[in-house]
Amino acid sequence: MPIELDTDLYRTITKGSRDFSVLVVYTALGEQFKCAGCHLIQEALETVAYSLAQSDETNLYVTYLDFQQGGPIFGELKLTSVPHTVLFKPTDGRTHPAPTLPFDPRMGMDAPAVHSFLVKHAKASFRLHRPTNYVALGQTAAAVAVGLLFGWSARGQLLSLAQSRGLWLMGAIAWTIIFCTGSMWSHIRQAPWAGVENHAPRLFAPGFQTQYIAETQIVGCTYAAFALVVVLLAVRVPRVLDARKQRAALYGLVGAMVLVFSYMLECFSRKNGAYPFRLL
Amino acid sequence: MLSSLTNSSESTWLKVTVLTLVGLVAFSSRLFSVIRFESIIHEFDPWFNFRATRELVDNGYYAFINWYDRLAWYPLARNVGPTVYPGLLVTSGLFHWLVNALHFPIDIRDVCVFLAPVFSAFTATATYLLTAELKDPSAGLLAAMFIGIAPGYISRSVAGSYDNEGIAIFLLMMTFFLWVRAVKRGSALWAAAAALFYFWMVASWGGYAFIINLIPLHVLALLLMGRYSTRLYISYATFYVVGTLASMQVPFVGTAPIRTAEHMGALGVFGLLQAMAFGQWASHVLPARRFRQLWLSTLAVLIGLGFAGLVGLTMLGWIAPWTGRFYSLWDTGYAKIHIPLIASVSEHQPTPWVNFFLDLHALVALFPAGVYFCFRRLRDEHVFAIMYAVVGAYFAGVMIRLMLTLTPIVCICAAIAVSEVLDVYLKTAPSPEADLDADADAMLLHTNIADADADAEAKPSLNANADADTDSRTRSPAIPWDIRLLVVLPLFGVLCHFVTHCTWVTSTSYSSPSVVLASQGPNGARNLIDDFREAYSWLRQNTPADAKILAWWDYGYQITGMANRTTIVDNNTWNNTHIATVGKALACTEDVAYPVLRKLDVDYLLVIFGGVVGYSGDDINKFLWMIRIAEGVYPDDVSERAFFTDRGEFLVTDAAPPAMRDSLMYKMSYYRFKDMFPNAPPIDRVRGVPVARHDIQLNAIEEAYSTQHLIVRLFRVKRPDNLGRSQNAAASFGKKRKVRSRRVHPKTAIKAASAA
Repeated sequence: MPIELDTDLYRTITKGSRDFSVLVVYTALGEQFKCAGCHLIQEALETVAYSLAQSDETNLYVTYLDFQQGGPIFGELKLTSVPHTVLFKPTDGRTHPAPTLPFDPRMGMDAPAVHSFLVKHAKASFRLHRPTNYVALGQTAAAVAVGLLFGWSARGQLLSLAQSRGLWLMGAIAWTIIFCTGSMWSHIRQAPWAGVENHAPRLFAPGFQTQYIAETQIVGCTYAAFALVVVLLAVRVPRVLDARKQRAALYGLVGAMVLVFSYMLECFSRKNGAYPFRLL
Repeated sequence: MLSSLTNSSESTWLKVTVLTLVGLVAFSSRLFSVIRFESIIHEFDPWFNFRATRELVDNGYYAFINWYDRLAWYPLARNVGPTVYPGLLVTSGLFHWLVNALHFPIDIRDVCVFLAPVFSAFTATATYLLTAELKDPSAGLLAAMFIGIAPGYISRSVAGSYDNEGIAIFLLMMTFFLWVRAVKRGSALWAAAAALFYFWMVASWGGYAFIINLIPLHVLALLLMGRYSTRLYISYATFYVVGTLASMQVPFVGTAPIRTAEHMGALGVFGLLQAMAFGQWASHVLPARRFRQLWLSTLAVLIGLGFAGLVGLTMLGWIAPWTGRFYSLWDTGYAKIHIPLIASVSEHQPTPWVNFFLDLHALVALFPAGVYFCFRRLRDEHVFAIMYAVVGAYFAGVMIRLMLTLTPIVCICAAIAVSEVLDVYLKTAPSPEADLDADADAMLLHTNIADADADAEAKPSLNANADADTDSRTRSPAIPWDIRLLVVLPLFGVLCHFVTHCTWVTSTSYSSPSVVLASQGPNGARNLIDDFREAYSWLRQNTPADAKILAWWDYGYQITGMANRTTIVDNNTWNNTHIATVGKALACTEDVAYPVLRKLDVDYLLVIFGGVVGYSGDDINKFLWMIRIAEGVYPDDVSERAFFTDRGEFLVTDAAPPAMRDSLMYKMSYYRFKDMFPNAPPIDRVRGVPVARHDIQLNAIEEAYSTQHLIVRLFRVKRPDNLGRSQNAAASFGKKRKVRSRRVHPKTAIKAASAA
């Protein structure tokens, strides 16, 4: 576990001479601060501390200073934002005060980022271990066992499900629509569901090379609707026996086709301002 | 539709005519860039292909295979023969030989420029053949039209875009067509033909891995569906054996087909198919219960053994695991962390939805409908189309470059969907050949509609009334002609809009050679920005023949191709360390960079700077990747975070961090830039911000040449100081004394100050 500092301990460690490195995270873990980053890095810190304890590394300590324990220090350092992480390198008798190095949270605040920072700058050599989470392990094992049991007992139904053409059809169509509307982009770039503009939600991201999840869903729906219209036109309508019903269905479907298509163009020209074509 | 015209000579002639016209359209719609600019090789990679083709044509194939390219990767040089896919080069070499043998004296450059458009016409034919196997010739013709003009394919095959993809899509379609036909007929001949086209594909494009994984996937799906057949066995066994042996003849591929994980799926399916064949035989010999036991246990043992063997051989190093390039397709975060060199390429980014619509327009919305119709029929070849659709959609979503492999199947599926609708609303009677499928619901009564409204692509059938009353089961009331018109005309309108869209996209987005830039002035006049060729021709004429040019790798091929000078790194990014060294030289201060430049024997530095005309693809915008790649190898010299301000911004303004302002790249880009704005703050038109106004001193290098719009800037590396001082020390030697002497004489200092 990382060492929790208070004002005195902090001064003792940072002021005097030392032959070890200390990583100090200035943090505010209290609920009232609502500091998500603090909890994030605290988690990373615990993993790193655990790995340190498992290793032979003795010249490195990971610590944290909570605002409630060391308020005066925060004032002295004029810290305005937490978490702030600094590596105090060992004093070697020549450089005074010993060099410090801030940790850059933009490189990530997870355990691997902290670990690689320490390996690189504190010249520490230890491997990252995660403490075995027996509860989670047990849960997974139980879930797998239950799943297998269920699968075995319902194998007949599952087999018929796997052989159902309709299911595969729906799966394949959903798959193509999902991937043809840039959902991998949203996944990789971690796009938000929607944006905000003038306190109102904004569904379409500005610009050609960005997108919100909402707009991909809208576009996916228009593709699905268009495809559905085409399928109905080719498959269902000729089977309608009543001539008047057939005519009504056709009017409806063709109208829907034109509307959906023009909405598609509308969506696209919203993204690409130079696009010259509109329909309705 | 055409399908109702059996095999009469009329339908054949009609098909040939339509396909010829489609080929002409496909060819001519790719000529925008030639007409607007000139017959020139585009972009970056084509310049290498062009240079290599010239080498091949001039010196012959065997000299080419042993070609050691001394103009690239100085001082390592590059062994081109075994590190290049020769298919494209050999294809155009043969083409060149053929036309010259026929006494058409065509230069190799023109062959290279027009190769991709010519092959796109072939692609249209191959797509026609494949779609005709899936549905019927009328759908095939539609698919040929779609692929002929779909921007997703045009983007890679405009005239001048002389790259592997230009012929690879034709080979892809041809291989798939032959494969589907082989599976349909169980013919070793067609399968061997598929293998030969596969060989051509292997020789041409790294994307052949798509084929050698998709076809086994198809076979596996058929096996899982319980559709083992002798046809399948014959086709796959022939294809796999011939294809693998043939592919190993390509020097660049070598033993990869038996030693890398990418090809192991094909081998596994081959083994599985043998087991299935054995089981089929055994089931005839053994009693049913014995057979079942034996069969299940054999299969389990075989699969277990195969898997264990694969893992074991991988652990022993006999089989290479998935390479990073392929692995990053599955684990999409992998490349960014582990191989920044690959992640930095813009065409390796994921695809936003607008790109799908831009490249495919209405086809992408018709695509799911086509998949639906494939499911309705679900013969063996439809399973293949579905697998292709599913796999292709995933890859196109992950990597923008792979839109190219998705485009054909989208065209095919969309053509099937459109043709299904047209079948219902244009056909006056069911055709005998189209109704092999069980639920031919397109059974319509013959109504003697005036077919004058049917457009050219929907030629009415002539022998329509022959067997209209064969199936009264699905008989529905005759659809009146006005309703037919109501459906066909909007659909026709959508397709017309597709054509307009394709033309517009091709014209605006995909027809710039990117070697010459065009811009429009406020009065509408067109300005050509020809800075690249200006710089390269300066290099060619004003530098010694053995001068070494250091530039970021993007420009390597162009420098060797156009300036004929030696480069340090180029677009064949085979050596990450070397590229990182170049990145280090550009990202560090002059003092750090100078020894690096000396070690690499660099004579000139070349940077691309777009700040004057607003050319956004310049080096400052790529600078972060240079830093990242350099940091991966030289973490002590380069640190990414030093290039960000405390607030995490990447700036070129006054607030830029010292690491940025002292980097060689920054100094070279903005050297004397402020002199262009004597009375105003210097504005960088790419970043849209005023840049730092301080004087930029260059001591280790000096400006040699800057092009008209300052896009290309060339700097000469100074000789080392003859007293062994650093360049900075040598340069500031005299100046420091001057400052000191001013201090001694305050009066002159005051005078100087007031004068200023």
